[in-house]
Amino acid sequence: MHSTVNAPRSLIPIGAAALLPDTAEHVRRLEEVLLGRIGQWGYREIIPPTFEYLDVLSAGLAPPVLEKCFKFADWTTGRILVLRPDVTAQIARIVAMGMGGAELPLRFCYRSTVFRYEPEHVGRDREIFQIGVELIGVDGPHFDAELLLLLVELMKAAGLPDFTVSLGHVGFYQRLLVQSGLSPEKRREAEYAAAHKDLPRLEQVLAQERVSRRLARTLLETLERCGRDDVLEWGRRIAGRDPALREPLDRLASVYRFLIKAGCGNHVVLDLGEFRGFDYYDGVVFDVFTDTVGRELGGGGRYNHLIGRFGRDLPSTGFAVDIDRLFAAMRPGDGSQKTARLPVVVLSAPRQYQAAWKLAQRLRASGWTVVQDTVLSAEALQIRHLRKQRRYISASAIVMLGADGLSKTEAFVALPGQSFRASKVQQGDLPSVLHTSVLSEGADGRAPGSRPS
Amino acid sequence: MSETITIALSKGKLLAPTLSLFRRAGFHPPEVEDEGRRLVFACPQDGQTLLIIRPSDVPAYVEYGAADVGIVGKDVLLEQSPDVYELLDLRIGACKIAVAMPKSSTMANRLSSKVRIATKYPNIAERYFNQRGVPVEIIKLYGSIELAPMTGLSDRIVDLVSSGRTLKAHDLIETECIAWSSARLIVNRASLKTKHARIAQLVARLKKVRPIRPIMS
Repeated sequence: MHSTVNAPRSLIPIGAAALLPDTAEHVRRLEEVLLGRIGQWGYREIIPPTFEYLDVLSAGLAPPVLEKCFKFADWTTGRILVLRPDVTAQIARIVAMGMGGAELPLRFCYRSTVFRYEPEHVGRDREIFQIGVELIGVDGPHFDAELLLLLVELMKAAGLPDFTVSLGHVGFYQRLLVQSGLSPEKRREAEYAAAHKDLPRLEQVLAQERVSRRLARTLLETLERCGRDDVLEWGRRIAGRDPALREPLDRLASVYRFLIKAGCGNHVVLDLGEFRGFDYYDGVVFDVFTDTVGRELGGGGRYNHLIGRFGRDLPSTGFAVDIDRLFAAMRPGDGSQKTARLPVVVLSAPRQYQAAWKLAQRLRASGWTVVQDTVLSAEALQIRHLRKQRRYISASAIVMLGADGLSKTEAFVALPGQSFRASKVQQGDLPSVLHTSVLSEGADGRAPGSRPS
Repeated sequence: MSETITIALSKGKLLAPTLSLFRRAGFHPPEVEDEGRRLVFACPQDGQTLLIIRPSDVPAYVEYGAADVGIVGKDVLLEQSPDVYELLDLRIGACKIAVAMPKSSTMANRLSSKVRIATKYPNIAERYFNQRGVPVEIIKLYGSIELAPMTGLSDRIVDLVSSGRTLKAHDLIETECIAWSSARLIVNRASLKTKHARIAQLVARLKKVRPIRPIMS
């Protein structure tokens, strides 16, 4: 252990990974699709800073989240900086400081990575890709429904065939726990057990603290309830005349009715025992699941008191989608079909550089992806040679200027995907030649959405 | 309720009592040899697929959603703290996680005040002593923990105790009980929402037939 010889060191930090071109292209396209939809619903993007002062942001972060933050010192002020662990708290800070406009409601969205120390075995990255939205300054079941409908729309836009949104209200279970009369310490224990649906432990706490049998059974059973109208009916029987239980139930019922009217009721299940890891939620909460990924793809809820912690009292609601998990839930081809953009390669000798440059730019302007390369030896400027060297074999087409046997206005064209045989064409005819030969053969050199003209 | 759920069962001591509990609950699990080679059993009649795996692997299968449900001892859950729902105490395979030390304990001849603990459960042991402010040095072992104090490897051990016979045979006495353990039914967080009917049925039926009190294994 105290050897002076260094052990081999890991080359990548735990939880960090590069997205390689094929994945990166898909992820970015997925993000564009999602941001496009969100934009159509009137949400405007905020790009939050990557780090913040810990003492400022911590007002909006629960202790368990704080413990997972990456922190470092700011040498100019001696204060501690934190890599953003959660964008919602940042937006709350931004809005509380009066930025973002005075006209309510505010509709914001973000595409951002957040950073958290995650235990290795959980199998998730420490840099998490998120897309999220916040609806700030308004409270009401129709606003809760707006976010839920947007979440459903995003799942559909991503092409998920099947998904379930679990919808609950933290007020219901909190009220039941208040009724139990547990001491603050025991209540935290019960809340922890409830959040993890650890029924044996909850049962034990309730028995030790002599909570009445009837209430104990309700507390336990609530955590197992999951359904639709049956859950609401069951909740009403429990609630009786207690307004503090009826209110969250009525809110939930009314949000649910909006979802049914919008034709999305079939994607929703109600869960009165749902708790969230973030302690700022205080109303309707929701998560979205699909049965191919063992965890929620995203979720959120109402946080009417979070922005107040930064000094400006505004009711709010929001959600975030975990891009990595959503990506894992999509089947190949969902939402964005695979278009590997194979380039057209324009090759020339140095003395034809100007002509090659003009040709490359002309092709790019009409939508082709073009790689321009200059070869220094005349021998290398031969299709035969390229083939032997296995260079540019994945290009959709190779265009050669200035090779032996070509006049100033001519070029060789070869399609590596079919054969390397070169045919001689006039440079001026190239766009139309490429158009017919490459596109008709199905090789794809186009930028998505645009046809070369 | 057409969907099938995948259930990860713990190999070893828990397997036979788990299968008999499933039978009493009206399910039809096949005869499974504990040391058999087959690991996957389809039970279309019950809408279940059973996986027979190492107890310490069960939480990972359930947490990642490779299995919807798992049956595993609380000791494994306490050690690994997986992010899963724990819906039911099956009350079989009961035992306790305890601290034990040699009957004739002599203070080890070391400068450090740290107590050396040998255990299969490094996380449980470390948490327990840290919360009491006792500085400890944890030595992770994979079996025959009771050998450690005898050979001078450790001062104490943290291990499962059911009858107490093993401790006695090695001149060890139990000093503290850290926690009680028994078999638990755990559920993947997404599965509880997406396959709720099947899982609720399984939980309700097992709840009816589980023992009234924890039964020692």
